[in-house]
Amino acid sequence: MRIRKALVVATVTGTLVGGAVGVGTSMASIETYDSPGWLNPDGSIDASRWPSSMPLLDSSGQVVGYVNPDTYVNANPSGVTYRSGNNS
Amino acid sequence: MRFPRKIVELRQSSRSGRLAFVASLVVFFVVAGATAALAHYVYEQAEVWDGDGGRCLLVRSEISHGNGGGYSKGSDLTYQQLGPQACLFEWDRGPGYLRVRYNLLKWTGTQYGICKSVDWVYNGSTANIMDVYTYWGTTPPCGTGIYGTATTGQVKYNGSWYGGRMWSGVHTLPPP
Repeated sequence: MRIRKALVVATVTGTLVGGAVGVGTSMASIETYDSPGWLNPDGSIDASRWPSSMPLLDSSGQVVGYVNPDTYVNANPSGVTYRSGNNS
Repeated sequence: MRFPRKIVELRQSSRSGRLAFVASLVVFFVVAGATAALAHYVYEQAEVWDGDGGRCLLVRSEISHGNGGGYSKGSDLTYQQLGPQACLFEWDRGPGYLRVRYNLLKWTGTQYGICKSVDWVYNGSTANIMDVYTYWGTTPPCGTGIYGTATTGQVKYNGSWYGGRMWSGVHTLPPP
């Protein structure tokens, strides 16, 4: 099920004048998007609806082909961290 | 089983059924002089595998500002049953028994497309939580727009891999 949603983007500027904080001009825009068709209500991804092929975007966001999202690689992680032990 | 965690971050729910919502609230802003600093991140976390003997895997997927061009993080969190309470205690897994990969997706206006993909990263030391992250730079890698992280997390148990995928929710990049 696809749900059209709106993302409100706001910019808030703050100033500090004479020890008083003033929140100044704000502006907002609304961008709309669809919730992914493969999304479950808890935020997990429905494996049966997860596609084997997805559009591949270039640096300008244009579709330049289709790839398998489970095998395609074009980036590296910046880092990895680990935690172990029972620290509940 | 949904698993409560001690989480203090403000989260954006991506649950369907809400026709519209005000998302990506400005969580924290610090006013110092005439400058403003904003910090905000979005994530989802859920149990994706509940194995026999009370062993569980939670996967977390996150998207945030990073250095302006976005930041993705995918995490595995492993738990086990000790006594009557299932999946409450950390379950340490040896090197090579946890793995995470993720895709940075962008909304094109009609569909989600792959901007960046990170291959499997395996734990190099014993752990019950493994976080894998990428700073995407100072500008969004596929242009201005709405982005999210789709993370696949898995744990190896009795010779097989188990797990699932989580969607972070969405975030506008660059941040306002």
